[in-house]
Amino acid sequence: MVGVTLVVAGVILFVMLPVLRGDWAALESPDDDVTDVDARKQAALRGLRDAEYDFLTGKLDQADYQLLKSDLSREALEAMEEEVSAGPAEDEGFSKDGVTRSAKRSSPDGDGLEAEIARVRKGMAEGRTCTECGHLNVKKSRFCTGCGERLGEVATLAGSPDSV
Amino acid sequence: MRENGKFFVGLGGVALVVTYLIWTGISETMVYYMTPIELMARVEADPTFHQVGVKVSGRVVRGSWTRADDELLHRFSVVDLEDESVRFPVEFRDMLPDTFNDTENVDVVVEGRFREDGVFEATIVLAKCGSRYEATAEELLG
Amino acid sequence: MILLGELALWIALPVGVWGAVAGFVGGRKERGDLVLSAEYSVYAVFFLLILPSAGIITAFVTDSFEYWYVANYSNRELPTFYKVAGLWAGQRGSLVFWALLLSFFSAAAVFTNRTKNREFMPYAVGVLLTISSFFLVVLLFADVNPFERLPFAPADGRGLNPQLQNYWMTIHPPTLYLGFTSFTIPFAFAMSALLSGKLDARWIVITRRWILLSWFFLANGIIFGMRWAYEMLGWGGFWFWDPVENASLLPWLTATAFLHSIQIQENRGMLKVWNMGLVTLTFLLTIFATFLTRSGLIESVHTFAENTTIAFIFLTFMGVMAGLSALLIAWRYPLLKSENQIDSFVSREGAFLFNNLILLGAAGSILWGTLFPLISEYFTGQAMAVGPPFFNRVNLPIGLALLALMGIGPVIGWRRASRRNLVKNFLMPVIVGTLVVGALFLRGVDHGMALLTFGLSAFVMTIIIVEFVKGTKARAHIEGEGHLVALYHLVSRNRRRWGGYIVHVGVVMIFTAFAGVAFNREVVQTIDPGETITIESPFGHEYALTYQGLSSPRGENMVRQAVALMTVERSGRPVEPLTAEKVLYVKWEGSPLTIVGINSYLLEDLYLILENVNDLGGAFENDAAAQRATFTVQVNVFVGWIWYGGFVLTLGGIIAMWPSRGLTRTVSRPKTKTGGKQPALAARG
Repeated sequence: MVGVTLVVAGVILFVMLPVLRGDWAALESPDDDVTDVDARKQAALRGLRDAEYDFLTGKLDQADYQLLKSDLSREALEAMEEEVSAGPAEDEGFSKDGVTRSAKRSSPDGDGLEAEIARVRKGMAEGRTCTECGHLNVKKSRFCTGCGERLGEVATLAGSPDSV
Repeated sequence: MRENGKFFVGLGGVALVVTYLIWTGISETMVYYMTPIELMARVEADPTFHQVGVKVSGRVVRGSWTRADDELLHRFSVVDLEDESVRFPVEFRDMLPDTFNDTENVDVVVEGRFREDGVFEATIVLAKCGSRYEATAEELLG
Repeated sequence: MILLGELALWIALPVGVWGAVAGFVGGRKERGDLVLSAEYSVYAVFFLLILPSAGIITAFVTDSFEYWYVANYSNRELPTFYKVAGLWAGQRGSLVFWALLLSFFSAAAVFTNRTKNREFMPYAVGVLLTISSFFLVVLLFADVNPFERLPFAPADGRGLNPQLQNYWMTIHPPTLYLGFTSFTIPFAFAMSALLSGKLDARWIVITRRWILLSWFFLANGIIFGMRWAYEMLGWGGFWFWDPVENASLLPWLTATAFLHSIQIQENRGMLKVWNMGLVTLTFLLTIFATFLTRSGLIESVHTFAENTTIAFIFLTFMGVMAGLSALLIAWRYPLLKSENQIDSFVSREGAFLFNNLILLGAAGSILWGTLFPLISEYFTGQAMAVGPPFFNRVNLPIGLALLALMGIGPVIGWRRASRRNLVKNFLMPVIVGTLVVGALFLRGVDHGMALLTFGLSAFVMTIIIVEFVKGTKARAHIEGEGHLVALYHLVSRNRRRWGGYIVHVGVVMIFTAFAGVAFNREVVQTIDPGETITIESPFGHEYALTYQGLSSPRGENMVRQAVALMTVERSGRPVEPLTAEKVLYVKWEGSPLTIVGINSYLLEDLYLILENVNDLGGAFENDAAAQRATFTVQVNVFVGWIWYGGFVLTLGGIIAMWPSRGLTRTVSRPKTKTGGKQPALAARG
């Protein structure tokens, strides 16, 4: 009987402790890296990686690959743009530690994708990614070295009639 | 909703095919599921019912099980769970499940047809798993 | 000790209810202290459920027959092994077992999320504890208390049904229960997402591994059940479309569909409402499975004793959960709009969609067929039933379609597959499949459905093998690695995909085994010692079984055995002899148990059944005159591939579930009061 009372008391105490002591569980996890935007970006980047492999293994031929790549690049870019614009508010706690956002938000498997992100961002910032074939062109280019098309605005959607 | 048009087309198509499969499946393989009382009543009212596939649930009559010596043929009687007076003999030419016996109260389901000669020709016999019969306190203590 | 276990149930209920309330209120009002209390409640309930479980096991092991439950499922001679397993032998104990597993997984979910996904935890905990509380309510108020006592202790118990005294009884129900209960976690997080409005892909990412785990246990549990039936029921069959078998298959089918459709949501932001519906449906089906087994609603050789109180309670619970979920989904519908739509059916999205639709079609038809007696009686006054012919007939085309999709899905292009893509990837596999069909046909195989199965299997295997080969070669080339290393890295860098391929291989093997049933052979003969039964397999092997005689070993005095011995020759060469038995447990009223003999070869099993001994009593006494017996000998084609396929499936599942190295990061966080848990650690994804 003593044992039972002890157990009962112990359990009730344990369960009510937080309320009694005012201990709070975290209700937010600011370093959660999977938001909707992030998930879309990761999916797009995963897709890019898979597409590259499919192309190299011969499952996708050149034309299909470039089509897919431009679709996915565009999505990745859009997601990253969203991320960047949403960025500063959340960054406060972290930049002080010197941990940058891009390093924190690692992709599912580091290496190649990190490089990919860096490349595409750079292209966005400094040069042009061709919306027809996805080829990253040097700053100030007016024609794509990949497919020869005239380079339009980065923001224009691929395939739309006014991407010139 | 309109954007999901293709989705609903696909859904509808598959639903149609599956419904068709279920419909024909049921109409061609279904059997009536009755108690012995219902079976007797049905057969009296409709003599052609002797040709129809039927599934009957009841209980094995204690001590009614015999087995032919050199051929795979079992005979036993099935009685209605509610009315002890309603019973019929069964012939079965396959292996009986291990859960089948005529020493305890074994609930059984037989599937086949009820012949004109009053014997149920079973093609399938299922006996309820004995362990699921839970003993009452009296039985445990008695 | 046992008393403590009983009381623990009574304590667990208010704790569970408190925790559920604290979780919901704490989440709504953003009261971290209530939420923490709720999470502690989850741990407490788990602890409290260990006690009755241990109590029941103790009662069994100490032969405490004053407990009704122990007296019904045990006796003094029962090996300790089965006494421990008595926890899940019957209705009452298995409810405690279910509650224990549910609380364990709940605690694990809380523990693994103590520093992440925090926004989801309050409501998820609320849902989990609500469900746990439900099971506690059933245990305490539905007349199924496992600690019910008899007026005095009988001298001995009834013992365990000999049919249950085998290895499979100890792993089949627990594995299935692990699958059923673990699916509550994804459901809880889905409801949490709906309640909190956080309807992005996060709830899926959080629960991905749980879904896989649950699916994994269900698949294994079902396969164990098939093996049990094959070995112990003594008919050579492994699936009977029994209502309880069907009930366990249903959530597995929808969970499989769900595993695929979440990939569409992750990659394309589509099917959000569909996934919410699927996770709810799968959860409801796990409850339905246990409901069907316990209520005796549909007659089955499996069901526990009929109990209408339980039936009513479970039905109400299912109805309430279904209704609430539907309301939540309807309420959040605007947030569940698809981001994209299907461009073309001829695409990977299309293949996944069809996969889902036909899996649900299969589930729907099986549910319909299982409940048909009730449905028909309700609508027409006359109960009608359907059996294996119906289920086989409807599911065969569905199975073939699934088989085809397993080949199409992995290689068809996303969004819209171009003609080039189709030809490039499918021409060779289709040719291989056709050649296989042709070759088999020429060899005399004329069973249409089986031919189709074999052809499609070849199609799928070709595609998967090519995937592995191409992937390995590409990686080896790009990374400059040796082929084996390349293969290893290939798989470990994308475990879901390649693990999934391996699972598909396992399924292909299992489907091939199913097709093999069409070619089984059987011979029934009554013979005396010295006589020989011959049977030929479709592969040309000639088996000659020569009956040596019956013997009755002097074993324990509670068991009588009549063991028949056959020496076997396979195409002229002697191989292992086979024995088949009738075993009588003297204390257990009932007919003798049939123990079969199986010789397994790669392509077929030789299966021996001692169907009947004319003079069994004499045989038990080693009477030399009582040797005449009836035997059934079967050749079961490809049946071993179910088990081999099961291994492969298990391997693939483990690979897919294995945590990947990515997402390791060290972040120091601003200090918050987190009940003493400081998060400066490497969180693994």
